[in-house]
Parts: sequence; structure tokens; C-alpha cells
Amino acid sequence: MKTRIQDLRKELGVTQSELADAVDVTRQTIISLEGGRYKASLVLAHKLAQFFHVTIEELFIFDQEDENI
Amino acid sequence: MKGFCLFSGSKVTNNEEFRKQLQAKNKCLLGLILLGIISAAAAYYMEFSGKMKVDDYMLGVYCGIGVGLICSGIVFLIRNKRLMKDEEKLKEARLQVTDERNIEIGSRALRMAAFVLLIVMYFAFLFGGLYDPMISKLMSCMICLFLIVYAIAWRVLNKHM
Repeated sequence: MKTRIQDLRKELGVTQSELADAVDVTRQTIISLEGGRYKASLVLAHKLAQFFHVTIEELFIFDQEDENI
Repeated sequence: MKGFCLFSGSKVTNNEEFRKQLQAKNKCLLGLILLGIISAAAAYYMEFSGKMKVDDYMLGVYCGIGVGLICSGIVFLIRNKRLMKDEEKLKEARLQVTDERNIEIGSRALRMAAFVLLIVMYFAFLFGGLYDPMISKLMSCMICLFLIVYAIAWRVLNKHM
């Protein structure tokens, strides 16, 4: 699964710490999410989507085969 | 190892709730200190009363565990009191225990530790009996207890989720 978190964050000029603060997680979680090493829970995905004013589908790009969708 | 905490995980969403949780934890820490005092006092009583004959090794164990519990209880109590006074540090600590990735890491680490522990207990059960049959009995009881607790916990959680 890929994410557009890093792109959208840079577009807005927000640091990883600021984003982490806004969605109540640690900076390390944002780093792992951006690196694709960690999959966010539904709640966190919702919080991130709200922060960037996009839908969850726009923020997280699911690989249909990998995720068995 | 920032964020490392055994059995970590909390659902609090703000500093106020986290402060209340820390206050409850402080009460548990007082209980821990009390346990330490009882363990150390028991060791001193056994040593100086002359009513019980306990070997030096076990006296050292009781005393060491007692002092260890007292010291760790005091250290965590001071740490929590300091945290509760500083909003920034309180938020940082809250994020460490509520962060979903940290919780996931904690549960995976616990799973790995439980697996390794089971394997070690199995080998101790298998070969320990060659030295002392009590080791085999103890290990088989521990393995059974682990599996029973796991089965009960699974059933309870299955009903609630």
C-alpha cells in the first residue's frame, strides 16, 4: 500500500512533527507511514484524511492484488 | 528505545484523562513499594528472628527483590509526579503510550516473547527432568497454565469484540 501523505504534507508545508501533533501520534509513526512500513488504522486514516481535506482513498493507494481486494 | 513499555497501551485522548490514569498508576506504584517493604522486611525477620532457617541465597533474593521493588516504585512515582506538572512532557508521554504503532509493536513483541518463553519452557521440561524431576513438573504446570490462560482470554475477548 502506498500513501500520498508525504506529497500532501510537503504541499501544505507541514513538518512531520506538526502532522504527528495534529493527529495525536508520534513522529516515528508518520515516518513509518510515509515510508510504507506501517499501515494506519481506520481511525488514524480518517484523521489524516480530514487533516488533508481528502478522502481515505485519495490518501492511501491500495494495491488490489497485495491487499486481496 | 523511546516508547518502550511492557504491557503499554491506552485509549486516553487528552492530557486530563492521562493525568487521571497516571494518578491511578501512582496508587499501584504505592502498592508495589508496599510489596517491596514486605519482601525486604520478611527477609530481615527471617535473618534476625532465628525462628526460620532460610539459606543465604534465598535471603539475598527476598532482600534484593524487596529493595528493587521499593527503588523502582519510588523512581516511577517521582517520574509520574514530574510528568503531571509539565503539560508538554505529559503530552509527549501520552503520545508514547497511545500511539497505535507503539501499541502494535508492543503486542507483536509480547507475542514473540511468549513464543520464545514457551519453547524455552518446553526444553526445560524435556531436559530439566534429567537433573531434577521437579523442574519437569514445574515446567509442565507453567505450560498448561499459559495455555489455559490464553484459551480463557481468547474466549473472553472473542465475546467482547
